[in-house]
Amino acid sequence: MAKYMVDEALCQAHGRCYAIARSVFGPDSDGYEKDAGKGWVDIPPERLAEAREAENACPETAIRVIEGD
Amino acid sequence: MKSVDYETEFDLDAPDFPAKFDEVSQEVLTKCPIVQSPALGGYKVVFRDEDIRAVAKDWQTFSNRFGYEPNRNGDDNARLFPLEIDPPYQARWRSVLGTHLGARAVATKEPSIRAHVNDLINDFVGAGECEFVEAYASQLPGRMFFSTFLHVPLADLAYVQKATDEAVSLPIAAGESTEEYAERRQAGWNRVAEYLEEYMRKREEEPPRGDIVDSILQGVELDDGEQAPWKHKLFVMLDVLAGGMTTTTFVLAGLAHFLATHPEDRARLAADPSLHTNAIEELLRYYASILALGRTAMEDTEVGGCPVKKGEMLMLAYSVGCRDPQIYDRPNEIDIDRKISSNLAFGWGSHRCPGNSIARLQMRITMEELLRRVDGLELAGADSNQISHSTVTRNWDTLPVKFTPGAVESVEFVEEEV
Repeated sequence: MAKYMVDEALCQAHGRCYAIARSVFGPDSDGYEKDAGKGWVDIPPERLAEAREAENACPETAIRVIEGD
Repeated sequence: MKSVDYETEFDLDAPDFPAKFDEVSQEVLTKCPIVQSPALGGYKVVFRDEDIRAVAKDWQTFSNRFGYEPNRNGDDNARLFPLEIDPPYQARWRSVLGTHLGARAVATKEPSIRAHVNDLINDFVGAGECEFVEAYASQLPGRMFFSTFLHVPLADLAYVQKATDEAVSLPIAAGESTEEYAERRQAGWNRVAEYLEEYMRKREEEPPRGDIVDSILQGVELDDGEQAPWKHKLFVMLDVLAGGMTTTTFVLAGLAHFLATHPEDRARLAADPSLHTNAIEELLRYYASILALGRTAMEDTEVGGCPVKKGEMLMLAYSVGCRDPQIYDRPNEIDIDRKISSNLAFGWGSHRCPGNSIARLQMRITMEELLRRVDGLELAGADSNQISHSTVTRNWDTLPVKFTPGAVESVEFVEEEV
């Protein structure tokens, strides 16, 4: 399955990812991505395209999306 | 660089490049976005924002494991991790660093950093003049890492700083060969490594404090599932320490240089703190401290329409990319209202600077306290020959300033919570 990872050292809580792909990304109580620093998280296949879009929109290049294992 | 043929003679270490940085940057960005340099055994330099981002993001094609600059000789005593490794192993170390260097974690250090900022200002504020690099810009980053993050004695700072300078920021000497220069840099790294190793051995014997040192000592898994060896932990400590010293010194000096040379902006910033965040992003762009960092092509490919051969090193000139006229109108001017959608000053892709939040916070607190405590700041010398280059970093060597003498304030150092 495809996976994403949010680099906690880079996330600055801009919120672009969960504005673009709310079904994949989301804010924690301070606006940082909720899974920042938690390693690889699965992406359902039908959400991959929007996850990629969010990856490309992150101004801090904090999101990494990989396909396959 | 007087009438250099950029296609064949470009050299990141050319002695007159720093003084002509603005014009040379525009010339290469508009005329030859990628050049081949004969220096340091040969490397290519990538200048344009778009090309830099494309290479930096593609870690499969452009690897970091052959070193961050030409002539890293593979000496395994002092490498820099996670800079000189690739994902997925690299990503596991990034997670460790993110826990301690991310924006949320760093925000808790603000009282400690502010105490150091005001303590350093106390040392020069009464005199009405100082050499800002020596008095402040080179001091704060070291104090941050030693006191706020690593909790090691400040008394050791001068020794480690000198060794780090030797490894990172001292330019090639007149008459020195490329090989001698590379050896001198490696010797500097080895001295920093020896110091850090002794500290890490000591910490390993002590009860854990829950700080970044403990997390690094705990380690991560290699790609084959084995535990990372001791040396790799040392290489991560080296990267954390070295990555934040010279680089932050440069942007802090840049901030003071800006305040001293832009009195109208200074007045606006003093009157309206809501302008600070945007202004700092612009200052990080204009005074970008990483001259260039390298990747090695893993296959024959092309960048910006130019062929690149397998094994070639590409130096990504982030500081030049930050002046790309395709992205920025009037790129050689500081416009504190400029909206920067995404800052190239910290690099791009999986190796983007993990200490960016610390740099941004040091910049913000320094701006606030200089505006509050140092009135009438202006340059005390000629506005030239202040900067040198050393392959990967831009270095601010000297910045004499004068100002209205101010009062010493009492500073309370906070006991660190880790």
